[in-house]
Amino acid sequence: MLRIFISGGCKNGKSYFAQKLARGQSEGRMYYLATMRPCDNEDYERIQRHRKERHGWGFITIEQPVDILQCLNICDTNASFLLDSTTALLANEMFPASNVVNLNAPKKIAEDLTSLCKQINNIVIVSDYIYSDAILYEDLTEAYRKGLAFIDRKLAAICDVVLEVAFGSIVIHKGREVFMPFYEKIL
Amino acid sequence: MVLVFGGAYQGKLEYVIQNYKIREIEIFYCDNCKEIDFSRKVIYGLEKLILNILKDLKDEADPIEYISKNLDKMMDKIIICTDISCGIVPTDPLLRQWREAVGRCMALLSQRAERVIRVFCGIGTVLK
Repeated sequence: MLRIFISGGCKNGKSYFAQKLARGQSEGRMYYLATMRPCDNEDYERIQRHRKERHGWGFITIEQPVDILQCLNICDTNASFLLDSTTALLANEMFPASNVVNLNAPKKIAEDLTSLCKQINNIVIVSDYIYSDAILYEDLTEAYRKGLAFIDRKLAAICDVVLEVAFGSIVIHKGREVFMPFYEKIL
Repeated sequence: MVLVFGGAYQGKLEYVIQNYKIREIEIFYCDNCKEIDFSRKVIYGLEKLILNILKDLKDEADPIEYISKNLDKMMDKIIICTDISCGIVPTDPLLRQWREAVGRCMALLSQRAERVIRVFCGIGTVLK
């Protein structure tokens, strides 16, 4: 029963790895908290592809693009949860409509996720490490980056295990002693 | 010398303040500066100093030269620098130069540092 936070570069296998961990710590029901909010056909196709990829894993998909705590109204809190990703969750709440920006979103989401992790002790949360490029972004993108990092740091502080995934390899930043026995079992 | 690096907003300064019992007065913020105040214990945001030096085209100043020249004064410091090495090559020539200069300075400093720490989501890992 672990709260596992995973980050790392984009498109390097984090989601697949997270699915394996979530399945590994499942003793029955498994929920996939889907955060992507489709805006166009490309998004719909991507969501269909992701659903197809997850087919057969046994996840129950809960669409929760905003207000993540609402999933607790319908989910069994003893189940295994996978939340993928904080990146989409923040984008949805920070930019709810065109020309609307909610700068309070990072704080709100950090509080929501802290509360979620208090009520569920079997969860894998995926984020994206978008902090090491040499680009000077405009204020809004910078605020988003800063906000996501704020959420990441809060989650890293409260989760039992913090992992960085690098193309299939992992760096264990926190919780090696609890993670390794579990990981060896599911390998 | 201690070199602390990591991506943007990873909690590098907070890590240093907590682990080295640093007071606010001991921190030099590079923000808009082109020179370091060596009377302070912590040098924060070295990547900004490097960019400021590069922006100042007038005197053709070289940030790598500035750091090498002052290495001796940095031996008792804690230096905090953002890692900007992992994105795609910037199209802006200034940012390309910046990325290169920060990389070279970090390599130089990490060679001389007795301790090198990477901070990831607020968690520090000692690399050297």
